[in-house]
Amino acid sequence: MRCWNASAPLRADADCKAEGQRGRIAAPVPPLRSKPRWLIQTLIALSCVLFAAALAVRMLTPGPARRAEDRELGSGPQVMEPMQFLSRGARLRVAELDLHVRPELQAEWNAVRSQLFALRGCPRTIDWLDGADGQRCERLLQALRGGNRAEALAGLTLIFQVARASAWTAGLRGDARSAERLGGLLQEWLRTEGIAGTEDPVLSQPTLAAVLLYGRVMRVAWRAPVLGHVEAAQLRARQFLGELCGVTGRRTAIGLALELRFARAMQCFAGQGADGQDDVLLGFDEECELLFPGLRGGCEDA
Amino acid sequence: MSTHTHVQVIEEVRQARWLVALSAVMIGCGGFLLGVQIDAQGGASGTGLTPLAMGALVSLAAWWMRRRSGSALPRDGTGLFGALAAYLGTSFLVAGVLVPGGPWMFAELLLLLVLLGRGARDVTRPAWLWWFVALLLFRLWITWQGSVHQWQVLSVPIPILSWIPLDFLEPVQSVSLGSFTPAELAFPPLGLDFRMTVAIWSAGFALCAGGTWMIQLALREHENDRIHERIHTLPAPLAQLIERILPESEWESLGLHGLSERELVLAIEQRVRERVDRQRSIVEEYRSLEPLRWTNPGGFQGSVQAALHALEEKQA
Repeated sequence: MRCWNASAPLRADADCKAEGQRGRIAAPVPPLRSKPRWLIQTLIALSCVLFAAALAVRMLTPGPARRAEDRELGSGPQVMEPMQFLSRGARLRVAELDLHVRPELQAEWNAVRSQLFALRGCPRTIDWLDGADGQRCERLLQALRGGNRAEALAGLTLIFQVARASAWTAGLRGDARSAERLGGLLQEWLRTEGIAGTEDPVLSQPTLAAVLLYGRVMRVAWRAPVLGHVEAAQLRARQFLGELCGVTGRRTAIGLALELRFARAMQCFAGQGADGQDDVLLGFDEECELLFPGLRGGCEDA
Repeated sequence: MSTHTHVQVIEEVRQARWLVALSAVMIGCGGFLLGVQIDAQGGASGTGLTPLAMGALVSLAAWWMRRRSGSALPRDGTGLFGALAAYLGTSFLVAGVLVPGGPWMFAELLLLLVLLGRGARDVTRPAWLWWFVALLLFRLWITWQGSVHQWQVLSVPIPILSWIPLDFLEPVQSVSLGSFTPAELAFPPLGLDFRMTVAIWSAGFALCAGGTWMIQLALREHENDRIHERIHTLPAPLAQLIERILPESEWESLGLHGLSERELVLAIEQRVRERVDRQRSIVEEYRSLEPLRWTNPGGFQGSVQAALHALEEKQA
């Protein structure tokens, strides 16, 4: 029987003696599998490099924000200051979009925008949309989807003008239908243009503005009844915005952009608002109020 | 089967070098990961030098306290490199769990100094590691709070007032505990990608903690190798006898770690002399006790038993 201690070969003698095996020490020591010297030296050199990198990485300063609107416009229609088309002064510039709308839609576009920007009397949104002019507008919006960036902006300009020139507040009767209908228009636009729009230098800001207005409009629908809420409206908005912004999973580009620029909106939407976890659209409403102060559904801004 | 020379065998036994190098790589990787944070747009930036400076101070204080309790000094290249890696590992670890700035950082700093001071006598025990884990969790919690723009550790709703759904009561419906600012957390201006950052920090912490723990064991083993090597410069039977008198498991507690070669030799001589003297005195004392007296019942039976014992001793 051979006596051998692999972990401490030099102590084999002592160990064997301890076990009462005096005189049974193995004379030849078997070779051990030691690590090559070059491997240890390589590891030490690697660790030195890592130590230096660990120190250096702490000095990295964060880079500036890469905003979509700062990118090169590249090919496609060039539209400067796109947010002006969504503001009160849109009527001053809306004609510029005529150049970028497809020729086959040109006539319809001219007619609808003229009617819409001349709309007076603050009709209920649902009433106007159910009328001939409203239906024509909806058809045009449908036709403008999937076009170039200027056509997408043209569609959004029309929706904002509808929001500005018609009434969608609940009123004393607690009517949520106008707000829900307007929310439907915004939702359709965001569904088709929102994801790509966030990365587009022209559409990035208008897309975020559309999300904020959508949140405000759906909040009006949710709060429409004098007592209680229209839960369906909020659930729909929550579902859609969750999909659009990626709140439950990883944030989408829209979610990130919103968080960076309109943090309150995402804060409330993620259920982190200090005030009332039920009111998840409150942040959108507050941010929209700051961005479009008069756009409250009562034609105050028309 | 080949026969190895004495030097070759000693060289091959020194697996601790390999462990030291591997642990250092782990510490380097961990330190690197703990120094990175990912912003909302996926860009990487550093967590700043302030926490690392604090970590270095804590580590230095811990090392100083350990020295006062008689811990080892590095005596060769491997030991020196291992000690440096262990120092950096502790620094990275502390920097990784500390809140990067503000009053919370100083409170944690004080706590860590106390903990490290008390636990420094045996750093391989994982008890102190649990405190680091707790501090890391705290940092992750406030990072999470910051990532959702809640700039306090905790918001406690006030009963009754918080149940009233009136907006103007909002300021008095809850109490904020432990407020902080984005600057104190060294957040990038674009905000933090919490998921990615937490994943990176957690991996870094695991590597750094594992490496720091491993390197302590490796350094201890390396010191044992050095003592073993010194003892085996004696003739083999004598070296084996000394290793039976002074078992390897007691070398650190006997204060043999970290001594210079001359001090080591003197210390071994002294410990061996002490143990042999003690052993001899115990044997002599035992022999002088005449244990038969304790069990001798006396009388006729005791006289016979004493006579037989005397006969046995005479024959011996």
